[in-house]
Amino acid sequence: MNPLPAQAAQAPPDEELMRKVAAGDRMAFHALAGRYMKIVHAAVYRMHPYAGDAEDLVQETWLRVWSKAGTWREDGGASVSTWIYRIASNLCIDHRRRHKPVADIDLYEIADGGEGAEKKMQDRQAQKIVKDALQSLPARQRMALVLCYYQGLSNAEAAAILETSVKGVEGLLVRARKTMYGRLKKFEGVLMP
Amino acid sequence: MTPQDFKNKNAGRFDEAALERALDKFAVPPFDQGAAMARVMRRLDDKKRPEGAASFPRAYRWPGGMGMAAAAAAILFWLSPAPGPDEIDRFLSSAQLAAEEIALQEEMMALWDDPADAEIEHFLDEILTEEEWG
Repeated sequence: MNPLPAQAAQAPPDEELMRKVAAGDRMAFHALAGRYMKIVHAAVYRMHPYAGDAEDLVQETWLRVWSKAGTWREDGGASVSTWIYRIASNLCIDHRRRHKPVADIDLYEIADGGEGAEKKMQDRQAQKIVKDALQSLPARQRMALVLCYYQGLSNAEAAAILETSVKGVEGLLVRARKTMYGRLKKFEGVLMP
Repeated sequence: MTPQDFKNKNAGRFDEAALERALDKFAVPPFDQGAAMARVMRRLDDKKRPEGAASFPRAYRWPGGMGMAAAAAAILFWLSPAPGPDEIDRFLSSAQLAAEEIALQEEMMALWDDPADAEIEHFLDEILTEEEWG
């Protein structure tokens, strides 16, 4: 994974922070969470786009990072970011199995008139169409698309997170893209002008 | 396979650029990282120390809750005033039940962390991949 902007030359590497977190260092945990919380939220929201749930899942991800830090192994193959993504992905899958998603109310809000209201409505409509199509994909296809397309990870990184082969990820992506295209094409007037 | 090879392989199957334009419509709402971080840090107080950061050496610990249950049973046993044989039996069997329950919970948690369903999905993905990619 490409180094994040926050991970400047002087900043301690992820591995060092992780070792300190495993020893119970809250400052190190704060630094690590500060580095990855936003991108974890983006990934979780796209895997499970229901605002309240997504925030709870982000919190749960970090609490797991804290309590399971001792199980991360530097020589175990997974980078810290891959390991964190894997925790978040597994939590999203588990959550989806146990809870039926509820409608996200703010997407149905009626625009409040005024300038740009129509554009705002169109954007919301487009957002909802793509969101629904993405949610209708099988879990692993959705996750592959989120990780590779939206999060910009390589197929190899996504394979490590999804615990499959690179070829497996490529297959998931082909099927996900094909299905998404089929579902979104019906709305090309709104989505693909 | 590079990302470009991947694109080439899929070229002509459908309009990739149009799909990406559509996917880009799905934006993530603003996220208040400060507030989220504060909530997480508050909840850390309720959490145990990370695994592996125990306050006494690992060599002296018994595995998980079994050790705790057995230690508690031993202390209670020695503190209790001269119990009769029936009472001792009852106490030991209830301590054993508690230990078994904790062990079962731990086993369930381990299964939860590593769901078999994911392995099945993974397996199916691999098969379908082979077919699709020939």
